[in-house]
Amino acid sequence: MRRSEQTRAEDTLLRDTSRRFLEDTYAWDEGRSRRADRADHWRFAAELGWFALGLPERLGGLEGDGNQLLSILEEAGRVLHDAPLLANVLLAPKALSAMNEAVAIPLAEKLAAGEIRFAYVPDGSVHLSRSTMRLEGRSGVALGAAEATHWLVAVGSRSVDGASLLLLPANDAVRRTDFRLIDGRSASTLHFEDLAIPDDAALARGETAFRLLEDLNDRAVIGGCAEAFGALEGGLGLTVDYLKQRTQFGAPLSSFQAVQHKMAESFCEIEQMRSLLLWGAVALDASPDERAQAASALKVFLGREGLTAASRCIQVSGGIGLTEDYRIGHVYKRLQTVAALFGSTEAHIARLGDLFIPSTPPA
Amino acid sequence: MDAFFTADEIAFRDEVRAFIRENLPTDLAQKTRDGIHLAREDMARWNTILDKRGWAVHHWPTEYGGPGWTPIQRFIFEAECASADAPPLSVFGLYLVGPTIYTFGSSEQRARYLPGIRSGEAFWCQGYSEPDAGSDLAAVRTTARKVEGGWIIDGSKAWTSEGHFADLMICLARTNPNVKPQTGLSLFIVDMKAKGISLQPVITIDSGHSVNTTFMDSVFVPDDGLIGGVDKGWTYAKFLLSHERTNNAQVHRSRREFTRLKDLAAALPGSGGRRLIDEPAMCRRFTLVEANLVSLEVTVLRILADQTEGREPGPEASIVKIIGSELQQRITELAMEVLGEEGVKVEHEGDSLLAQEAQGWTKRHLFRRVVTIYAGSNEIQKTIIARSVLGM
Repeated sequence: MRRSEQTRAEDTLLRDTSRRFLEDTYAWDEGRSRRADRADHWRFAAELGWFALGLPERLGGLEGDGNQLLSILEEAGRVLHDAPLLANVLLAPKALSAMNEAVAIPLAEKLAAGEIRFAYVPDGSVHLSRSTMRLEGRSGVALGAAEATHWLVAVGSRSVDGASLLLLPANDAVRRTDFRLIDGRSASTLHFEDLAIPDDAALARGETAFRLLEDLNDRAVIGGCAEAFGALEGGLGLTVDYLKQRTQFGAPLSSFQAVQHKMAESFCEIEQMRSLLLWGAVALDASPDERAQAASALKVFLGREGLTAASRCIQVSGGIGLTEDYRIGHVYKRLQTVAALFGSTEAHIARLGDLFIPSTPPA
Repeated sequence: MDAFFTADEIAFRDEVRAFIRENLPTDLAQKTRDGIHLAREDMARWNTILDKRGWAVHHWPTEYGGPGWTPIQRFIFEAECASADAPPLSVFGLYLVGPTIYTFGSSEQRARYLPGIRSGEAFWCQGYSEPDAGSDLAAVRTTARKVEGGWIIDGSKAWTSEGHFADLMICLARTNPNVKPQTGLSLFIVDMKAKGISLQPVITIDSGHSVNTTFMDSVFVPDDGLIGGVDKGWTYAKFLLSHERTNNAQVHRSRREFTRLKDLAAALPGSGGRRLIDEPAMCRRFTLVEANLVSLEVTVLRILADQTEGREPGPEASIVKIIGSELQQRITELAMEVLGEEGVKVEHEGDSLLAQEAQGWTKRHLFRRVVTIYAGSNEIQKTIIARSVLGM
């Protein structure tokens, strides 16, 4: 938001390049033929610097800021990208920054080159025994875990004592249930059944891990909302264009005031979400409280106003909005998916409530 | 949201905060907390205090007495004033008439009228709307007829806020009936004590008197009472409406009221020994308003940051009137939920906290229905967004 002219020029260049690349290689098409060239696509993304951008210079990264990182995810969302960019653009660089440099540097190099892929494996009911170093329990929904080479596994995230962050090589010994999400993305649940973990797999434990897990989950929330925002903004543009072309009762639908007001309301909601994302971008590197507030406020807004804005787009599109071949329904499904991941809307309302309304009265 | 501000801006905030702490009279802060329509004297007192420090006309250019602040500094100043319960300054003089006169008025008009607005001595009201010209401002029927040495104005104006204590009115009147409705209007400065002016109070649903209907029967306005060119009034009026859009959001007032409401709900008992605010349903409602309030704050900040860095605000500026006014209403709607039965009593028993607070909130709640109607109703705003932003 407060940026020098030079930074702004860099932002614009990054966004334009990303948008062009995505539209050329990944534009929406009904046949979904775009999946064929996935390996190439990932390599090009690496060449554009997407995975180096979030890494600090000491790990050979480009040290981009929150605004720039989120702009990539927004643009990916706009074309309804379905590869696990979020974990590799926004989360893995953070986890690597927290690691021992000797281990982190080679991993960072490979991440930046697109040679390895991380998946974020949110906590479900995973427990690590400190004495035996054995892992037990079930993960939450892990986007892209089947294609990943490395898993960032959140463990015991509900308590300071039980918290650990693990880095595990993707591992056939772990039972994995793969499934698709309604927005077309692939995800898995990992089942840890008394899995022995080497000591050096734990990137952090205890309070350090607890804080890092909160940070990673907030990043997942903020980044997921950036993807959803891009999808929604694209969806509004698509819908307004359609309304200008579609004629009923002898006039374009865009000329009806009832329809105009619905789109104006969606525009208001989208602009507010853009504002919250600006806050989220700054908050990525702010204090934990501010980061948590920004993340939860975004998630709440997405789950309520964001979904409302998207459903209005379906409403004014009429029957075509219900069809699998038309994009707006997929925009809605992307938003619905993000709303469900990384903590539900109600869970984030409760969290925001705890942050804004402390349970003991101020002295 | 400290992450948004520079170190200089944080230092500026501390300076403003210290000044207000030392200079805002406690009785004025109390009156601001209690009332909704403040008396002229109370607004003027605070205006004078600020003027002595050079801060009264904080958004005017320096050549007319402004302090030369950036839009972000103004945001900080307004936020600090609101959170200390400083009385609001006169909207019409400072935000509407001042900029109209220094932008379109003659040098004689600037010298004559701007100092009074700056010091808080002169009060202005707005004469735009009419009984048959509300949202459709081009339908103004009040006429101004050219005579020797001036103009004769005939007609009536509706919703004249603060007209009963204003010294002067900025009045939109038709000077040319033979052209397109928008192009035949001119702006005049009318002395409220002039012969032929009479006022009828309009009591609003909060039982308060802040607005009036103004009747003008052959009111003489001298030639130097015309602002700018003849038949240019519509252009001037529109320029101003787009000029002060962020002011319409009332983001600082909303933040302050919401904080006070939170404090009230934290002081009131709920069920089962809990504080009212800790009841899950109540806590949830507060949280949802907070999420919307913070998104409004960031939206306003983003517009002002653009202006501070020399970029004209984009289409997002057109949304703040809508989201800001809806939020103001949501806050007082929540207040009614907090007040429960006490909120619908006209007379209150005893001096419990609830009894003391109820009347102010209920009156605010009722009067606040106006904010989605005035300054271009929200339906008008939505049509503008659809047409000019979305190209529909």
